[in-house]
Amino acid sequence: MPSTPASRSPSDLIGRIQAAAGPISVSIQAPSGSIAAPFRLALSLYDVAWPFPGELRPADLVIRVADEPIVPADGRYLDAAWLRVDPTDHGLRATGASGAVIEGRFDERGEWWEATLPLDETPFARQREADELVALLLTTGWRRAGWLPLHAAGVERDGRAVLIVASGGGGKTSLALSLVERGWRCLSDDKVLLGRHGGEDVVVGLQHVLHVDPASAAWFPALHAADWWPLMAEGSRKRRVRLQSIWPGRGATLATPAQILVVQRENGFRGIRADPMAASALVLALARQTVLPNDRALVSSAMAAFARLAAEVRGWAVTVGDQAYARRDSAARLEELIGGATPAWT
Amino acid sequence: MAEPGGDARTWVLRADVVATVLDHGALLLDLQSKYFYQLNPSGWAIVQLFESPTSAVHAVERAKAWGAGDADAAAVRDLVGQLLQHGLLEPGSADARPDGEAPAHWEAPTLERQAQPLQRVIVSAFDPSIPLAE
Repeated sequence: MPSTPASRSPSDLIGRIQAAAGPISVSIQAPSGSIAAPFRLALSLYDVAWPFPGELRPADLVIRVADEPIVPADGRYLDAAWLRVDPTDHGLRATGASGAVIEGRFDERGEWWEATLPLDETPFARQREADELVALLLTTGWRRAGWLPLHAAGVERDGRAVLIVASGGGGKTSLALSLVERGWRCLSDDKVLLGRHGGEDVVVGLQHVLHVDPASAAWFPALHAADWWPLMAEGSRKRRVRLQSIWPGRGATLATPAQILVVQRENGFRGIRADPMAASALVLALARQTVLPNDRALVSSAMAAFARLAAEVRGWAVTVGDQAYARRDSAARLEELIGGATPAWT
Repeated sequence: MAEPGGDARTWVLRADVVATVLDHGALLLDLQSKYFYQLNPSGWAIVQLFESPTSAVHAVERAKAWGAGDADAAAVRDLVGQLLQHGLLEPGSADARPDGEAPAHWEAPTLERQAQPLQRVIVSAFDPSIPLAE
């Protein structure tokens, strides 16, 4: 039986969380339910059960709250907007922009983290901090478990996956939605794991939660209630909705990668165009859609995985023009192209 | 900039330059500068020599053994010069004079730096995008 998503119990009140996200089984202990709540929310988004039962690794986090001066990390391992991470002799140490500190000790069994959060924080800062710390905890665990996180959308049909990558705001969610509307199943709209299982490359979805711009309801009638959905984050236009509530039964978990679409928008162009991509260009595109920390062994492994994948799949540079999805046949044409040998259509 | 033409000084690929072999050539990623460099098969064969300490002189010798003519020998020296210019090589120890692995088909070696480096500062541990100003 696959592991279940974030579970709730009376221990919620005293700040204990037990959840699974991909191949990682997360246990969190916090001083109170209110301190744990942002972490529970961050983990609740990982609602796809891991398809390989019995292959979960532990990641334990103990949280305390204190008013202490901190020594900021330098960002030698990873330098993110709200978190800087340094390598240590036993794992990693990170400091957050709002004053949180987290240290992880790793061994062959899993990862053991301790975090100290500042005493006084706004709810917004507390949630952002939790999001950042959970992202670090999970991405570290996934990599150490042999899985490569990729910032990509994924759709699946007949066990074969189409991965969609783009820079931020590049339109990967819209393209994924256009295919799901046509019957493809959704692996994720922005988070997948690449890895090997049974001697073959596989891609696994992590979230069946969509992050949509309400304006896209003009193209996708299923999103008509988007204005009423929760915000993805404070200051963002995008709304968050569970796939099940708009397209029941359209979620997928696991597939073999078959095609990769590298999407970009082009103003002044109407429609959708797809041009074949060389393997080397595909490797570069994939490398730009994963976080590569300053760790030679980790980067070498990731790049080798991308090179292997690029040699196995078909890659396409997809250009999406203004109002492309307003044309009802746009997705059909793209589907025809990626599904067969039809020459590119403009 | 060092003159690699007749220079017997040895150089070695920096430890934080990651090479990824492709079906055709290879990609180098400099973890310091975050730039990618694309090599054709001959270029990769030359760069591979510098995984051990060796000299530009030896690289030219190997290229000639693989079929390089005089014009390509100049291209090999240029390639080593580019590697030095981009800081991908650092001083090495005694010349290991590796044999290396000949490319399937010799052609003039090329090295192309990609226009855009990877982001130094990213959104989060999961998202490699450019952080938006607040």
